[in-house]
Amino acid sequence: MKLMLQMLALILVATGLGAAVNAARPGRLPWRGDWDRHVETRALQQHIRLAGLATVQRAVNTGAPVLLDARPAADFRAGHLPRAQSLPFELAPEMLAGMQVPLARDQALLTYCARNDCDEGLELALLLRQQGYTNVMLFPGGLHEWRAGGGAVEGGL
Amino acid sequence: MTTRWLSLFSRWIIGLVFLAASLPKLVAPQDMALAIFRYHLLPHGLVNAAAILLPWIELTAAVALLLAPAYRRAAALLLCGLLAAFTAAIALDLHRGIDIACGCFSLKPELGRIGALSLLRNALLLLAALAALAPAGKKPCPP
Repeated sequence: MKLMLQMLALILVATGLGAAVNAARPGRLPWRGDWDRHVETRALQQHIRLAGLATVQRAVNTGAPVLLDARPAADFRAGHLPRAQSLPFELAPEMLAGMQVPLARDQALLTYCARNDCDEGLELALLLRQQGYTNVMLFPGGLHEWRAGGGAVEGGL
Repeated sequence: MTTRWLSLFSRWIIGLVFLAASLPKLVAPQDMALAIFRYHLLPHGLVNAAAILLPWIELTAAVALLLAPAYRRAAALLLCGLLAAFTAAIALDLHRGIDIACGCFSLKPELGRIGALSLLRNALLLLAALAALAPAGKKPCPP
């Protein structure tokens, strides 16, 4: 009983400290976050598989899965994942139709955009699935996470 | 005598490990929230609260373990509970095939992916925490 009370005391002290410091912090974290609308939640709800850095590294090394950059073409030109193809979400239907070497419907595809607060990568993944592509994944961390991991970037100045 | 030394050694190991683990999480609660969210185990309404409180629970328990003899066993038990929960979360996500950063000692997504090594490390830490929980042994009676 005494042990339980002591544990409770420790938790209460920690709660008080955490709440006080968080309240005093300039960029304080709200107690309830809007995670329901986060891109990863939406992807999982839509049964889009999420890829981590290991899968992206494999794609960069081997070309499989095929990396598709969903950002606008100008952003792609400024820097993109090695081996990635530009397929801006807004132009995707026309670009898919006009591809010289079309993507196979069962080919493994991996979409991404700038970072985990953009949603073009997810929108492109959903669009591809809608168009009949059966093996589509999303790299939610995007170019930001790839760079943060020390990954090389193609293009740009 | 041996039990006392083992308990003391384990206490310092666990205390220092949790002290070091709590600091990056205290500094960057937003990153901590994202790391917790990416496990996709907690209800979304609890993610931020966990990000705000967990590092402080780690820190408070670690400090109590090292510096407050009266609270030593309670702190060790609390840290055992945290370690068991963290280990279960990693095992569950590995089983589900989710490839994420551990968020254990660093919140950078490129560092410390979950895997068999993180499970092994947690198992060893859990053993040390259990050893720290053991009574420190009887002191020799005064003459």
